[in-house]
Amino acid sequence: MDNIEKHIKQHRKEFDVDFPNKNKLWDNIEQNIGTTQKVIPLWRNHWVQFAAAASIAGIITVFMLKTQPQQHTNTICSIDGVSKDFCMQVNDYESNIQQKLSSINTNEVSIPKEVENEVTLDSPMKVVLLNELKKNPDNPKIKDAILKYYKAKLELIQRIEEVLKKQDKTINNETDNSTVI
Amino acid sequence: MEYGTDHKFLEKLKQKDVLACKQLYLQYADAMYNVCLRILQHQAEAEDALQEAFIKVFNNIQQYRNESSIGSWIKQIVTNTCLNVLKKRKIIFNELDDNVELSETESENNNETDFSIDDIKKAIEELPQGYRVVFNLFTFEDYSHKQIADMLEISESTAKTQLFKAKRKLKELLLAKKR
Repeated sequence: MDNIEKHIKQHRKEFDVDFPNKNKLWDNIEQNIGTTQKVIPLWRNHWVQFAAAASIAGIITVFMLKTQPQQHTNTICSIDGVSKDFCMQVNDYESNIQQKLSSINTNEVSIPKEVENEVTLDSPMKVVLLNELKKNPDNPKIKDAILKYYKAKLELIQRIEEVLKKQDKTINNETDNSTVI
Repeated sequence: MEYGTDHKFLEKLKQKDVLACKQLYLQYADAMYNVCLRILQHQAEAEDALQEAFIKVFNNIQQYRNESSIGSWIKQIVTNTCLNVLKKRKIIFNELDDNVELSETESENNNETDFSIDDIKKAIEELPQGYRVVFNLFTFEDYSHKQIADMLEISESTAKTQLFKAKRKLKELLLAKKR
């Protein structure tokens, strides 16, 4: 072995400094060798698909729940021939009612079931009024009846609020008295 | 880690398990690319040969008998693939000048290790193609004269002569660079 040969062997690694395009070459190689377990892209994995579907369903549910109050208003506002003013009045009532309802936790309140349903659910009366409005969107009597319906609902909620406040005061007083004793 | 000794890994390769195949490829791709580049002196051809060689490796893995290391087996396939490319280029490893007297001592010089790696690489690239291939196979890939003769389909004495002349030419080129 001569000196140059020895010199090369001593520095062998320093001669291997070039690199191929490994990923590109591998793609071509893989296509030609018929491997048994193909690498499945993440989006083709069944669990990932299930998780993605569940997430989408969740997002849609949350979206629908959040937009539910507006849907009632939109039902009235979307009726052909309903004036903008009337629509705005209905919107105001709707948002007021929603606000007050959200401040009352009806599950903990001991109010009659009929009253509770009237507060939290759309009554049959509203359905009748909406059908009438669809037939006669400009009829002032129907529009008046709808506004009265919302007004009555709002007043009912306000009364419930007052009753709850009175109950709270009574309970607080009783608690204070028992503490003194 | 030498994969040739790992029985489970070898079984996976024989079943063409994609992860095992890719692992083996990544383990040897860089080194084998440099083997190709030294023989072919052309990046695109070296990549094509490397790809072709690894396809042969995986499609013939059933024939690997664990008698040599899997690295040596792969290198043999890679080298043969590259030499086939050269044959298509009509490179002739001729039998001429077999009467050259082989004397390793004729140009021994203590200054031969003064050359930089870069100078040596450039000088090797400037060697005539036939000399260069024999020199690379012997010096870098550690093949014997007999193995080189078999691969290039020449006599063993021609392989020795070609190597001797390659070394002499290499020294001339390096000395010329130094002047």
